[in-house]
Amino acid sequence: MRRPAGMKPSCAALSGRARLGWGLWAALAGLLVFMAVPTGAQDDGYVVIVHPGVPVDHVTKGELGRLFQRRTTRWSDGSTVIPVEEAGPVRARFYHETMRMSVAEVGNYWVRQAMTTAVQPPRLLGSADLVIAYVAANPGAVAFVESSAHLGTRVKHVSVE
Amino acid sequence: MAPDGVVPMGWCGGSRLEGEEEVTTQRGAGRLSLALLTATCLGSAVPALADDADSVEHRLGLLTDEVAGLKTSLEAQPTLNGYYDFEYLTDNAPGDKSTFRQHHLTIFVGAHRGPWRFLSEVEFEDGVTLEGDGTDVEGKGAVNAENAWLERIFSDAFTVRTGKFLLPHYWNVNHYPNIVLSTNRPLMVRQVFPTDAVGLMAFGNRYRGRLGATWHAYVGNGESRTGTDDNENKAAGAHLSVHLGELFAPFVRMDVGAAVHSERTGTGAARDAVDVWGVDAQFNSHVVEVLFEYARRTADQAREGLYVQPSVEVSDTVRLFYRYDWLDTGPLSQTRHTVGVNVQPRPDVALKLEVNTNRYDSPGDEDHEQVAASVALFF
Repeated sequence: MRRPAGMKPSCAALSGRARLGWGLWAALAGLLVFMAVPTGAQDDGYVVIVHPGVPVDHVTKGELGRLFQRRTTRWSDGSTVIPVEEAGPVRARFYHETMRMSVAEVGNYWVRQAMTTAVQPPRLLGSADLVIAYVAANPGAVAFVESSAHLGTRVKHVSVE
Repeated sequence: MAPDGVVPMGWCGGSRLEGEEEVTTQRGAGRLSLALLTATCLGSAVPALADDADSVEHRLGLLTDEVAGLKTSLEAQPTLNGYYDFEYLTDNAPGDKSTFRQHHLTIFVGAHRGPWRFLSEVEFEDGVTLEGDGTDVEGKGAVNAENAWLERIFSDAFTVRTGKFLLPHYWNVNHYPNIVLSTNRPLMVRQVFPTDAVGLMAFGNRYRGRLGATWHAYVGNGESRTGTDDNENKAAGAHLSVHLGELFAPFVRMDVGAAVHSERTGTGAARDAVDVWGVDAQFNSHVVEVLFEYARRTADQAREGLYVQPSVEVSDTVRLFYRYDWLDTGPLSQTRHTVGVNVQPRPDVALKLEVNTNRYDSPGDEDHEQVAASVALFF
């Protein structure tokens, strides 16, 4: 409602402004708390597995991005990196977290690689069980699967920093 | 009668029992019968189950070997890719005609054998036709082996490539219509740095934490060649790019690079010194991307040029872009402003539309505007 000229703001209006001010402070504090939470504490919806012979126990997201873009092609012991991907929504989450790219952008990346380097994209398998079986059977393999997948004992779980 | 709640057991479960003691006796007899029957059944079933398990395990082993063999043979197959693009160009320069252009039909064949990798790119340009009897051949268009190289990968930090390869400058390497946003290439590309070389190139990348770098160094025949080199002087050059993208979170890519190239073209007293240097940068934060290259050729063939191309993502499939071009070759000085839209309904299809204005400081060249549209398919 329009207030007549010269009339002081009502208590209700003052209270509303105060609430707005406190709300802004609370939002700012919440943002700071959110930024302070370590990223490793959240569940990204995927887990990273490798063949038991791969000499790695933890990787950074940047390193994972390079492994799955095939820019890093050798493990520290000189063996060949064989990246494998699980089809489905987990791919979008993994790309976003490790490469900060969408599925379409990664598709563009592989078009570019096919034209300029002859490097082909990682093998894409249809289920977590297939991915786990493939990783278990292939030395040097690395993959991501849904975090709900049953990993068993034939593959090694790698922590992501 | 059995008390309420007592369920008759055993193989005579259909009869009802009289009294608690009889029930117990009958239960014991029933259990014994069941145990004997189970033992008999298991006695005959266990060897059969074991046989089945052996058979399944054997078949699984055969299938595993077959899958491994198929995988090996599939991975040994050469890869076949390519692209096709079609353009429409029209401008208001005096004497120019609007035209359709079937620009490229290009086939890539690649192969990977352990640490060895091969790529060839054969380009059929402008609907090429060649006809003749071997001694008198006529044709239109062009056939060009743009890339034909073999490389040996020693590590991520060190690979050696031999053959004909594109020189490692951003647009030059990524000039393919499915990769770049515009139909026209920047004015400076192919005018300041040479395009390709026949020779040797070593390259690699290295990351320390979140900081990375990619290096290239090459030696080759240079620009003045007709199949083989026409002089003893060899072209040499290098490019170094630093990757800062992982240090600055909003950026998918933040690369800054510098390049040099030197050669002597021609033969005898007519040889020209060609020394080129340049810098480049590529920033990409999903929504906004900026590409920049500057190069300057000194010595006997002075010329320089640059482009800056910012673009913005409007949706998952649409990007708007603007590009400022400048090229000065001495006799020719040209600036160009381009605005356009690039639509990629899928990563392997690109639809492009752009308008550009061209301004000349050199006499004899008419300012003009152009509209260019194209479609490209990667396969």
